[in-house]
Amino acid sequence: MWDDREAMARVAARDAGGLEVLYDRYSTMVYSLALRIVRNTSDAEDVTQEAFAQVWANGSRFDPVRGAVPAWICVIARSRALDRLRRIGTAGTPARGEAAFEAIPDPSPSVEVMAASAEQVVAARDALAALPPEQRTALELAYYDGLTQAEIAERTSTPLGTVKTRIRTGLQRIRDAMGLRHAPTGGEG
Amino acid sequence: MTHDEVRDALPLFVVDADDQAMRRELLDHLAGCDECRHALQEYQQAADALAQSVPQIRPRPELRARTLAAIVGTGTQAEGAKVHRMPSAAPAPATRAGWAPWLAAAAALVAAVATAGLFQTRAELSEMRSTLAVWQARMADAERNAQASQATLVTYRRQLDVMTADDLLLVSLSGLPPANAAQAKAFVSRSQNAILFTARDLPSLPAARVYQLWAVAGGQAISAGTFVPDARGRSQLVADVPALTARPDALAVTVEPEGGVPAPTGPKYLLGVPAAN
Repeated sequence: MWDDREAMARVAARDAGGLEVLYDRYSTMVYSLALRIVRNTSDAEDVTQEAFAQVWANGSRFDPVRGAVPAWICVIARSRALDRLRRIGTAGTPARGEAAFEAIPDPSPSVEVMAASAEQVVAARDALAALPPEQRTALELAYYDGLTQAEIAERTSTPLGTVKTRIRTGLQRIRDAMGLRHAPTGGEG
Repeated sequence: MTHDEVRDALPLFVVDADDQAMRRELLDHLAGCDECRHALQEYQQAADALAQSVPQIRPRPELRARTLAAIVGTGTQAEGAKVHRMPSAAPAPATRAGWAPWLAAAAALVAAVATAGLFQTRAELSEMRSTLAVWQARMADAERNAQASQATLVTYRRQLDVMTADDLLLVSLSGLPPANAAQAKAFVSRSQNAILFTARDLPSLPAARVYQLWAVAGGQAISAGTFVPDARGRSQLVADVPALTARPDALAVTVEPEGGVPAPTGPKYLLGVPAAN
């Protein structure tokens, strides 16, 4: 069985076998995320189809230096799901999830980013569940509902600065729980 | 934005909750700051784990075929492969003196630009075809749904026509031994040549047997079709009975061999006469 990189190379070469491998490996992940966001099976199925259509269409643009294949597919799935939410009128703003992914250019040294391990995903899930409710709510409204910081502030009747702090602290805790705590690289910035 | 401000904004950036007005500055800073790019990558991984930590639910198996057929079932992949392998324009040999090498170089440049344009156009075309295929699959789904809805609508319309007919007759049928508990109701309209029939608590049938509904008029039994009740002894029937030209004197249900018979042969399980109009 092809690994992710080989499957992506096949997709980039317009080999449908590559897409089949990716579908079999990640359709549950895509569908589950879509279902969490759009909250109905019919739209989640459409989102799944659109997400893999985009994987097929943009396969040649995938850059392993920016992130692992499942991360890239997740970013696409989330964007398509939030687009769908917006079309059915329950999300406030356009999904821009791909911007952050695209903005990771040429890390130094340039190495392929590894996919999150199963242990890291479990750690992230546990960390999310353990967040104080107000932090978890702010993070979930941003990530799963696609609300902007201003919209979250309005929705939760909370000052904007507090919303920012909650999201920042929440995601930092998840990052730390995954063992990803940032080590400064020594004045390169 | 200062370095510290960007660092603070990164967790918000990866979940799209950053300040949009400041995004250009944030991206400019990222382009020149390794430390912030590393930090961004870590937050991005945390956000990815968020995506993967929702309850994992497998999609319906049918979605695989639908998705793959819609995306790659249009024959665009072979064309796409050609696009990716398309050779660039060969440089003209610069062996001739004078303007020839310049003209050849210019021609090569034009060809290269045209090739790049073609590449872009073909890639866009491929993407558009993928999108079109998705929509075609959805249209086919919608059409199937519409046909099913249309069939349901025709049935409802038929039932409504019967129920609102001027010559509507109501027949209550009672169970006969061994089907004492069975009950049924029928709405009969000669002008609509139809009987709406609904029964409950019918006994389960022996092997290779069905229930058959009869309208008895002028001493003749006219078949209104056969049926098999569900596990709870219930059944519904919308029967077209063009032979029903006279007011029925009675309705009956008998047990008959599979496929039904032209005239009743088996035991009667239900019997009823029309209510007086």
